[in-house]
Amino acid sequence: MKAVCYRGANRLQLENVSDPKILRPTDAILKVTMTATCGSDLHLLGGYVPSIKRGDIIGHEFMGEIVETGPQVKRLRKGQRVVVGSVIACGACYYCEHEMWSLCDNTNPNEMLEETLGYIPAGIYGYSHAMGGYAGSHAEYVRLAYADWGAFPVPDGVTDEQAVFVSDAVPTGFMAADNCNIQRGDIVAVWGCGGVGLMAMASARILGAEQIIAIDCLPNRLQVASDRLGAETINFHQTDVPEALREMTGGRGPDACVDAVGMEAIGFGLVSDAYDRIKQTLRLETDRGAVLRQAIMACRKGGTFSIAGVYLGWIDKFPIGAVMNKALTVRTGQQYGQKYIPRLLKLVQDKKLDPSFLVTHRTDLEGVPKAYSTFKQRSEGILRAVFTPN
Amino acid sequence: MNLQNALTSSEQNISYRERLFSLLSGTVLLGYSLYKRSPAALGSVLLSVALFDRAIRGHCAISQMMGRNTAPSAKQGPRPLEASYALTIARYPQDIEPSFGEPENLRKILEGGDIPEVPAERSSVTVASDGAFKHQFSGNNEADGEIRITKHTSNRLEWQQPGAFGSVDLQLAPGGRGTEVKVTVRRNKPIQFWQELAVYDARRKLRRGLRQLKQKLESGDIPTIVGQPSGRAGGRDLHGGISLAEMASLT
Repeated sequence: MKAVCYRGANRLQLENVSDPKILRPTDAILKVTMTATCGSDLHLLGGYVPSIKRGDIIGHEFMGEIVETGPQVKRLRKGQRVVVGSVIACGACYYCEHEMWSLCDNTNPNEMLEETLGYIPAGIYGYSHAMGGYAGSHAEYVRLAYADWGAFPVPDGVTDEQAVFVSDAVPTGFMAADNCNIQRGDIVAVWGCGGVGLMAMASARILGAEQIIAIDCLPNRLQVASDRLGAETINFHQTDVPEALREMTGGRGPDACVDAVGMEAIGFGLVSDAYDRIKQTLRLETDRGAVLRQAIMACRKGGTFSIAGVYLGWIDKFPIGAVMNKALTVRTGQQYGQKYIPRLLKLVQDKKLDPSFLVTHRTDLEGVPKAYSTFKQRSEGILRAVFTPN
Repeated sequence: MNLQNALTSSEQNISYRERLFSLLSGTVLLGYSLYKRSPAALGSVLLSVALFDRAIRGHCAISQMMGRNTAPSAKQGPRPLEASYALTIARYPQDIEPSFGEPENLRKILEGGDIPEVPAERSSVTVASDGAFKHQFSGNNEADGEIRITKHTSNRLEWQQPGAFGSVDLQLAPGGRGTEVKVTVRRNKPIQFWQELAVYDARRKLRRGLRQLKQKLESGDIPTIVGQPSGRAGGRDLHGGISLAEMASLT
């Protein structure tokens, strides 16, 4: 089959590789009908994730048709149209039983993260060997591990362009908003108007937020947030964000702040940006924490800071004093897809949520390298690109 | 602080791990210096020599001047190798214990290579009214003449093998979380400081073996990626390996 493989920093290659096969009795084989880019893929491509190897198949946001099932797969059948959560869970450990699916004890066969994180989280498709080394979805077929707990039938009336994002962008954004514990009258500020950030805004609206404030530097993305989601917008290249937030919230600060940017944050100001970039280049810190710092400082006393963006290692100058003295609640984690996906599919089916507007670019597997180039440069008004391998 | 004393003393004042770290870092530094072969590398050579001295004598002048002593005590002497690993399995002790009661299975867990088997029958286990369980020895008590189970009571198993011995402790975890399992391996012979890596290796194997047992008992399966497709398996390039930057220049 054809698959898009990582070939070094910022280098992708379409290759002929072997077809996946059932390796464990809990596996299923999926014929991929649609797979999408994700902002976290850029961390892989940029060489920030050290355990990715040349030849790894990338991609973790996908859907398709079940074509084969292992003998212990009970909930899926051939021909079924399903969307697959990016995170792989066993359904049987303490964490799965308590709906903390991305913390599953059993699905990551690799143990290297015990040295860096303390304990080993769940496996993730197409996201380096630290996360299990599972082959990703930018291919014609994918092997689904623990398939019963990761693939969800797509209801009638839900299009592929809607369903594919329920794999990752929507549950990540929804979990970020859910973590905010939104109450009546709450104002939620979201840093980052990419796919996850926009879905966090949409979710916050569904969960009852009074006002959404979107923060980014790309005018087209801010426009989308304003037009589609009714958000008030701040361009951080033109406006002092903390001061603007203070004014927009009557001097209180946002009740909840969402970081939908992650480890490659652009600094606010030349000194801040240069500081983080230099340190990251020299590997004196692994992640850039500009958004973390700003959101913590901007959040109101007693508010909630919800981190949806991906971080992998260590940052410098973390304002722990502000967190402690303002009694902030910090909530974060890789998405609990298995908890949210059924509910989200229902919301999409009931037309209360429609992520299909994220699709701005569409191509087959041959166009994947070019699409990622555009995605990395954030040019051509791109939000998300989707690929149709079959 | 007496600098002369600090530099010339032979008192051992650093731990095995520090000595090992000095040995390894001195080796890396020396290799780098020889590779560079520049005047600036001379400083690296001198530093690597100092690190070797620190490793061999077990004495650090800086530690002495700081009043710091992490060396094993004279009474204690070289310590035996001991590695342990603990995790919690979401099962009752009586469901876990049979996996350790079979010597061949115990060997697989200790070596962390093969996949341990989960015995289908547990008829040799009885549970008392207070929750304690008892195991009746059944069948062969040795695995290939190597591992021999010497003690088997409720919640504890001990074994011996040539050059090593160890134990498995099972304890109910609080709040219905399952069973806390701790496996300890000890080598009879005291280790030298450069053998600290052996501790790390033994612990790594234990971790692998126990995790696989946990995966098997909880989820019924052990995850693997061996045999999955990748571009490393001689995949044929269809696209020429173009970089993202090159792609951008084409637009």
